[in-house]
Amino acid sequence: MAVSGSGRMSPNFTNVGTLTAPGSTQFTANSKLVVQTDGMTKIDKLAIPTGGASISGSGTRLEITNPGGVIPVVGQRFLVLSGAVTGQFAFVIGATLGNITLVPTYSALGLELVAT
Amino acid sequence: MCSSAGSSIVVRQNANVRLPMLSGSLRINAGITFTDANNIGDPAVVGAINNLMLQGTLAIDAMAVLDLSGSSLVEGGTIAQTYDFLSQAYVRVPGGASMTVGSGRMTLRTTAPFFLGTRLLQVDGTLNLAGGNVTVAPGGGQLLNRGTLNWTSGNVFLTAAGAEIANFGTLNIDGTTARTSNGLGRIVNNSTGSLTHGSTATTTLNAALSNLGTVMSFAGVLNLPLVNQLDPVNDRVTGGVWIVEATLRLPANMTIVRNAGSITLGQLGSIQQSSGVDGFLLQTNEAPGTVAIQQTRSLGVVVNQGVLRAASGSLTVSAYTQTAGTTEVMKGATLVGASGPVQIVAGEIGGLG
Repeated sequence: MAVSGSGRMSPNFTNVGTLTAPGSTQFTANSKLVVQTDGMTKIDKLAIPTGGASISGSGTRLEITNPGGVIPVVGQRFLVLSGAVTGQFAFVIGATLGNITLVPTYSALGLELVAT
Repeated sequence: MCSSAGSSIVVRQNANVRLPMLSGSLRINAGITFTDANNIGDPAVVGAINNLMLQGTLAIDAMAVLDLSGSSLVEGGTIAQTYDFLSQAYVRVPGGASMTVGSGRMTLRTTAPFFLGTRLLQVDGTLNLAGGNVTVAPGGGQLLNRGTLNWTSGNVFLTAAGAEIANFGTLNIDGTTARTSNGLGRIVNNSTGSLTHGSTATTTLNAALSNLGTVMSFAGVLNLPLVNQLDPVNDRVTGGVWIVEATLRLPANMTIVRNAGSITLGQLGSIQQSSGVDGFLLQTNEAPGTVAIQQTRSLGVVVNQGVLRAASGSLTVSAYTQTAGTTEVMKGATLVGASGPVQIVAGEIGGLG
């Protein structure tokens, strides 16, 4: 799957949920991954069991929405992308929730947001 | 004026005597039957009733004629034309007259025509077309349905330009007989209207149909050979809502390649060419088109500019490009690019449920 241009991917449009990509997924210039969190324990997740994700090009964005306004506690971790990841999103939008910042952390697990 | 409350009346004609012309109002609160039980060719006639207000049951038996020349109302009762092989019974609403089926019910199952003249038959209750022929004839009459019109047998002849069935309610078309409309008239399924096929029969609607509302195929086979929104020249659905849970057959020489309407292809739904082979070969879903697929299905190269929803099952495409609009993948469903990528160039892709 390839998301490019002004294309957006939301693991779930209405609730917090998981979208499983059947193969490798590419985010290229100006594309967006939009995730929603309940602020407590859950966040949208893009699961890529095979092929992993590559993020490249300028203007790529990870956008976080928190419609309930619940603020996570420090140290909480939210896995938003599972699978191997190469590259990073150029911008993270909506990462500040009250006095908490969700910091993207790339690891072998994928991409996590850590409340700090 | 004849009035009856709480009892039944049978008017039986055994001689060549016509019932009197009623120029005033006839209110029927109980039951009344006009019949010609014994004399073929000597019809019992109730003629020229200016205003029929029916709260009971009016049965029109063999050879009888109910001629409504004014504005009449079935407001809770029933007009039933009974069938036998000698029956020539009919209800006539001539030019200038109108008849409204309020919350009542009228059943037409005579072998003789039901004449509808230059004015309308308005249905706010239930009208059952259970046999015989209905002719919407000279001057462009209209059968206006705002209630429920059950068309299970017989034909409607729309013989003049402007003659039409205008459906704003529920139009149930069922039965094994082809539904015919010849002439210049048409059926308009308006935005609030639903045209449904729910029996296991194969039904052909030969009328020219304009679907501005919803067509629903729940069982059996519904043949639609002539529909404004189904364009066989460009293999394009130009509008309307189409919910296909059973079999919907397209006009001759048409497959669906482009869509600008709203199509739901249910779990057991099948959209077919007129020959019966698969007729859903979507390539472009144009804005504001919506396609929801609730079954496992393979398509070729697909471009989406509207809303495409993989609602259940597995939707496999050779390649998929979204240049606008939305792709929705419901919980439990999958969208797979078999031999090419799924590309979201613009718009959004995401999960639902």
